[in-house]
Amino acid sequence: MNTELGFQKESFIYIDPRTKLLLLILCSFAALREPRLLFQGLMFVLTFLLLINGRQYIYACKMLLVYAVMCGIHFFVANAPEKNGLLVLLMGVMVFRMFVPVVMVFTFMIRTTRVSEFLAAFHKMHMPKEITIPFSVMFRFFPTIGEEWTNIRNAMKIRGFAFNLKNVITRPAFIYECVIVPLLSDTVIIADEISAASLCRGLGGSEVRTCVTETKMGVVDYLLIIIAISLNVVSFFAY
Amino acid sequence: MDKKKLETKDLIMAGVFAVLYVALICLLASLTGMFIPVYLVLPLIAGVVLGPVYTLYVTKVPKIGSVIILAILSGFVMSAASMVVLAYVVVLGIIATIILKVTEYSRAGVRISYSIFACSTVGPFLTLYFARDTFLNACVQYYGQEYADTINGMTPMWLLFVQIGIALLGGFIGSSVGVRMNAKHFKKAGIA
Repeated sequence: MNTELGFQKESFIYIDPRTKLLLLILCSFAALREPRLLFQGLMFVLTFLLLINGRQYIYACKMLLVYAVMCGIHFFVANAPEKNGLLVLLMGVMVFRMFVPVVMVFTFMIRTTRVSEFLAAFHKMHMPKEITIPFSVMFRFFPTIGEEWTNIRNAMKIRGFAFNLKNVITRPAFIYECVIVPLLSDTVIIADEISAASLCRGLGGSEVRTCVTETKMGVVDYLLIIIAISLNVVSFFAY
Repeated sequence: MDKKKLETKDLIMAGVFAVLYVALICLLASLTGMFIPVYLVLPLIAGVVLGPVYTLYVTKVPKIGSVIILAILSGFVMSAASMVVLAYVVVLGIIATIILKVTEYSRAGVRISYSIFACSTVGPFLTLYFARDTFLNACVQYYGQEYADTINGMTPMWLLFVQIGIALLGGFIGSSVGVRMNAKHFKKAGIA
């Protein structure tokens, strides 16, 4: 089970969490406004380089493959003599291709940022704790829920009602109850444990926290932001 | 319910429940995504499945703002594509909070508020309806107007209203199940 989310790998060039957040937002704006292949390809290359910088080689290669297949379908349909039937396929491919860079930036953000980095960056942004604490818990908790899910499935298999297609179709209500009740109980118990742990980290008090983790905006950060903004400007004036 | 402000404990609960909420949506979307007609009724299925999550969350953290935080977090993930969806989900969260406040967290109040909040699962489809315009523009460039018109006819706008309708229905069923589940399991186990 990938419980560490790849956190232990240091990026080649350090990128500030704030830049990552801003990149995600800017990227999502630009990606949806400009559908042309050249622009989309450029965005893909940029996000691909980000992933390589974060040492997420396997994931980056997977996405490259997906993207190549999508472009292949695109060219195949565009050059096919009879286009009518294939247009639905093309629509699906084009819409999903718009989302690929956004999903990549999102994964990049989750996999290359530590929770304490997030907290430090949010603190510098003067975000209220009503946003920062749930946000960082969320990032930390994603792998845990996967683990619980595997355990519940194993327990169901031992009791003789495995979570498979046959059981889901023949008795959905029963299977649903068997999944959701332990999942919710686990969630509540884990939340209690995390709040106990957070007291040790000093998150419970009303005082201003100090932080060992330093976050600094470097030249690379400003460069990335400028690139992202200029992409937005280009997509804005393209029509 | 004596302390009205959200404490760290409640915020952590919010984060954890948001993960559960989002993870279940992603799971359902990937399961149903293989069959397009089933995928279009995702709001109904998601409403039914996520009902107990919402109900238990509201019972655990009955304070103003808890639903809004859930809306911001789940909206942030669901709307990875466009911030319009985030705004839409947050507005639904605010409406749900007001309903909960007015009805003082009674069973009926929880049901109505979740029926409203369940409409948030229509959010990702909203992007598709918006992205369609961009896509149609591209289509005109590549293949001409008539092809664009063909595709336009295949995804009619009334489908959106049908989806909102079934989301309301799904939310009502889901929260009814949730209320009953609270009484049957979680009260006994001492976690509700």
